[in-house]
Amino acid sequence: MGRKAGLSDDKLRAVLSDDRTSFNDTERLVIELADAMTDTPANVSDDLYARLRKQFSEEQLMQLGAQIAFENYRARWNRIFNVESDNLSRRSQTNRKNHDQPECADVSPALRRISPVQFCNSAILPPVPVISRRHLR
Amino acid sequence: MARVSGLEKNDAPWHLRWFYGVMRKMFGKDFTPAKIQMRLPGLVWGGIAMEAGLGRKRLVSLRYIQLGKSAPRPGLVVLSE
Repeated sequence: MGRKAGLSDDKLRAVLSDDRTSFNDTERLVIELADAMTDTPANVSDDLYARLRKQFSEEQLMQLGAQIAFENYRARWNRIFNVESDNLSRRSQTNRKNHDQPECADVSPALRRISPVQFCNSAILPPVPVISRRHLR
Repeated sequence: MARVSGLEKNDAPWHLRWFYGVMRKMFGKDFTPAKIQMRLPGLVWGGIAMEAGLGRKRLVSLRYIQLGKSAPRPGLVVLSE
């Protein structure tokens, strides 16, 4: 769906990394907002809000925030029932082949709240763990 | 493995069976979370209403919305087909 919205594969992959050079200023802001909203406890600083307001109107921020919050709702809801990947993505299939050594195994399970294998296999739409990118650094 | 099972199309409430067709058209298969939510139809209708309401008059570029939705979910949508 991201591709249909005009996001390149490189950019979509870069969402996971620290390298944000491929994003423009507005895209970086959106990612920062999503990070802040996904964090626990969620906290959007005055500074971030001020920068967002330079790019978006209040109504636009309401819509963007609602979309991000709703995505968080879905991701968290899935954790109750331990819903796993439906294998809709190529990445997910690759990760299943490397089942024994997930690439994100170095991230503390305590931070992810789920096992590394489960985390790596959740590379699809709804069954996704809620975790801030900040925790992955 | 999910801790609970979802409903197949034939077991789902009649007023939500159309949704299976939408899922299959979009993703080529039934979505596990959606099948589970079918046990509580209000959840599905709530999600549909939310998406419809937010998508009705889009004020922000879809590009930013998709990016914002991807960021809280490392490794996901992102790479879906």
